[in-house]
Amino acid sequence: MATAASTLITAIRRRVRDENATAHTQAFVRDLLDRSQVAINTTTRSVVSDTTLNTTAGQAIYHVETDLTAAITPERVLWNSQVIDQIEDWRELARMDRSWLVRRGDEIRAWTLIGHNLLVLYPALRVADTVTVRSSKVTAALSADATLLELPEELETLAMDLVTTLLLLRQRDLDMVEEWAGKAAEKMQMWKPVDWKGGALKKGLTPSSR
Amino acid sequence: MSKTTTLTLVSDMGLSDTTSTEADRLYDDIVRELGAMGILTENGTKAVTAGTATYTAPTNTIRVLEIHGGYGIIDQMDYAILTNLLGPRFHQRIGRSEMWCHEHETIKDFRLVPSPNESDTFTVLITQYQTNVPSWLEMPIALEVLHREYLRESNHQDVDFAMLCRKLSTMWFSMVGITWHQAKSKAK
Repeated sequence: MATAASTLITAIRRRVRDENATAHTQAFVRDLLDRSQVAINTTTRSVVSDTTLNTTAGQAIYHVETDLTAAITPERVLWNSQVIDQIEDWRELARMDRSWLVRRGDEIRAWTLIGHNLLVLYPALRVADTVTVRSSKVTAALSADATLLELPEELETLAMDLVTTLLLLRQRDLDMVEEWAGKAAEKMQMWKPVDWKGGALKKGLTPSSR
Repeated sequence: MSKTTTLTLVSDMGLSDTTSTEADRLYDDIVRELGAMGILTENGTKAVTAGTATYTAPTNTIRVLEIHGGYGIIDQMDYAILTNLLGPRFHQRIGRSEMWCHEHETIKDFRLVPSPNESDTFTVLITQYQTNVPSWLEMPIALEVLHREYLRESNHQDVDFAMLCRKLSTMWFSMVGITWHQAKSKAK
């Protein structure tokens, strides 16, 4: 069962010897917990959301932040019930098709990201359609003490470790920072990102698959 | 999210010791570095006029990644190579633009070669300076600002604190999938 922000904050306060909230306000600690939750999800991809993206005829590029709801990084693109292959490096597009941006087609062959902001669907569809994009998501803001974390329970300790590290840094308890940062880094090593891709991750498309 | 939110975080974490003007400048530096790394990208359009060869890249461009005409990619070419390839008067050529090069010393102006013989709209893919970086980038940026701010000579200089901020910013950047390039060269 998910845990309320306040429960974790109380435990964190005990770690940094600030039970009476004299050094750090409740809102500030909650904000750090919120940021830690999002950062952990960026790396573990534990909490995802599916967004229906309405594509525009002839448009290949879409914006991750504005076109997909609360997305951090797209992990999988589904079109017409098919998982679309991902191209690892967007520059491969230019190597396989010098007109990739203006290419039009009846089916999407591949998708890729340019930086963190731009999602490319290749080729652009001739007609408007929809695709479903699964992305690791920006978890819901911890707007109140009673708000529940979205991360799986087993990752809550890692979130607590990160917040502890930041609060100790703020308190200038520098020796303790090293120790807690080490604990957090160790826990992070244990978590392999969830693989949502399904489709193949390709260096580039073969000529026959164009 | 906004630059203001990140700078508030810097001030909160630094217990208000930081200088706002300096933190502001450091934030800009770091976001430009992220842009140069190809993290923050944008696509813009550029109206191309027949007979006009030079254009300015979209606002806040850090680096031009690719330029596309209505017929495909326009290749980037070094000015010196163009001169060798097409002769010193290459800029007088007119036709379908197949190449582009940086114009003079600024990378924000580019020249189409040959100069376009018809008007068109080109797409320019760029890395860009932004003040509305995604919220999950705010913490590592704030920690990196703190690192630089506390490392420099000032009345609040604290090298140990600064180095720990660098260590944590590197860790947070790596959590969000970014290898913070300077970490390797500067961290102790």
